[in-house]
Amino acid sequence: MHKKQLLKIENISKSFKHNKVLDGICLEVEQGQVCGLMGINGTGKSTLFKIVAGLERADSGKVLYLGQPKTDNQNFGIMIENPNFFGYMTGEENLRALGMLYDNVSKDDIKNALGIVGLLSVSQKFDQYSLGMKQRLYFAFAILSKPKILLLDEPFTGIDFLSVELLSKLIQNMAQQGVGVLISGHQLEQMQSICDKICLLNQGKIVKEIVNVKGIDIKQEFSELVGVVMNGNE
Amino acid sequence: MATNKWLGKFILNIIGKKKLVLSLTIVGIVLIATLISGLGLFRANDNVFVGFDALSSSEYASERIAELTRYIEEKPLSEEAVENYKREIGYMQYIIDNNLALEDIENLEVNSGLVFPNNQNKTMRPFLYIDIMTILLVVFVLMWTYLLFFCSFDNGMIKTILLTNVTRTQFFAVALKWWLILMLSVICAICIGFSLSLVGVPDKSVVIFSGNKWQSLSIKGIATLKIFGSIAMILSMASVVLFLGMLTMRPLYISLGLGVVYFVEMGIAFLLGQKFGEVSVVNFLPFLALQNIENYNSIWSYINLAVGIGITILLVWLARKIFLKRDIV
Repeated sequence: MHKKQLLKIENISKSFKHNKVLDGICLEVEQGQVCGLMGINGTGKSTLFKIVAGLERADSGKVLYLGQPKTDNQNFGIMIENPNFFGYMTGEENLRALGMLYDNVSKDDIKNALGIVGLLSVSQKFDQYSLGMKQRLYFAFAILSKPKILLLDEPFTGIDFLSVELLSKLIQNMAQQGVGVLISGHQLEQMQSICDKICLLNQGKIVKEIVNVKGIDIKQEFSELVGVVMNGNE
Repeated sequence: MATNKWLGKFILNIIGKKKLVLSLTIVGIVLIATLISGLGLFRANDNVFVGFDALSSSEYASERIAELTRYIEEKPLSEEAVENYKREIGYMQYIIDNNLALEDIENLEVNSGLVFPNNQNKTMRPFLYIDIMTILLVVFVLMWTYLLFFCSFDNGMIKTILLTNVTRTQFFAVALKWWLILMLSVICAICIGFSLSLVGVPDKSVVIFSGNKWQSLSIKGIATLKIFGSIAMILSMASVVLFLGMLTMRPLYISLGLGVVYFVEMGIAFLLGQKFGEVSVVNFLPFLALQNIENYNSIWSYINLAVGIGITILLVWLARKIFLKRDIV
């Protein structure tokens, strides 16, 4: 069955002063596909996420949603960097406040999202949350408006293994429901288990795109990347 | 359009979570308006406003001599104060002896060696109280501008909001709308407060020593200048907060920047006042203080307001331009 192309990144480049962080990045995410973005720190993964989310401006290139230039974050669920919520509110209060910014979020949607991430019965204020709970709330926020695409920048960083497992399952469930996912991360096995495709990023360029990642030796592929990095730095 | 409506509700919700804060805002604005008007009523009963227009110069001088003599006899005063009072008594006696009219007094030169009157301080003292209240109002407004947009919407929260349906343009438009509502509330408070403060005050002139000569000044002219000056200052300072906020999105930098701007501005006004014989910190835009010294009730009052509004529009425009283009990281 032919899957719809949801997100297309065309020739995105970005420099900070004289430092070129992204250099002609091209990437596609289809409906129900989980696309992983891997690379060592400083290769421009987060910058690419911010550009797709509209938090940063690309120097050149386009971000297309369903073939049209992306103008807002409607249909996008986003987790980028650290979660920022109102510290003096509970998770539910935070989602209720932020839910007002959408036209299509009901009270049931909020309860549903909180239930999915296991925070429905938690009455603590956000400031009292553990990092894992914060990440889960961030994920609940990302799926709140029933997005078509999820942008998840290192969602597993700094959280306990149970939260990692829970988030992994949730991501896979979303993909099965037809949501396209662009995700970055550092844990090879974890990424392999949830991704359909992995792009290896180095020095602002995609140096390798691995499709059908499930059956391959990802460590071997990664060691080749290490070789590329070493050669690039020589 | 729908998102704008929701964003408005969202902001209300955030403020609503801080009920104490919201209550204090309302109470603060009402209180300050009342205080300004209360001071005005106090001032209306102050006999310093019975100036040369109300009495003949000789009558005024006689009353003043009696008053000053009573002060010297009844109050424990410093030697300097006694000396000043005696010099003023001498000056008043000169007016009586020579049967001087207002025009004669206005034309007296500083170097005539007659007096240096200290009654100007008393004349303007109520205005100084109003200046203090205005400064409190300014601090109050700036604090709330800051709280409203940058405690709740610091860098992190602006980023979270921009991850939703809300675009930068929508965010700025709604933030600006709420900022304007706050500004209009405060401007209304100032206008009501100052207008009430003028109730019962005859539109007489007071004579003060300013700009190296005696001047006859209209009370309502000064009040107009103060109203316009206050509005101009509050608008321009609050727009500085908005501008710095959108530029840095860091509450600490905003506070520091604001403090520096505020004290530099007040410092310049004070120094100009010292140099050119200004009587109080009447002029809130220091680059216009010089012109205002010579004539309170002049076109400069309106220019003062126009410049304040101009600065505000410029800063808001710049803030929008920067916010829409900059990276939110």
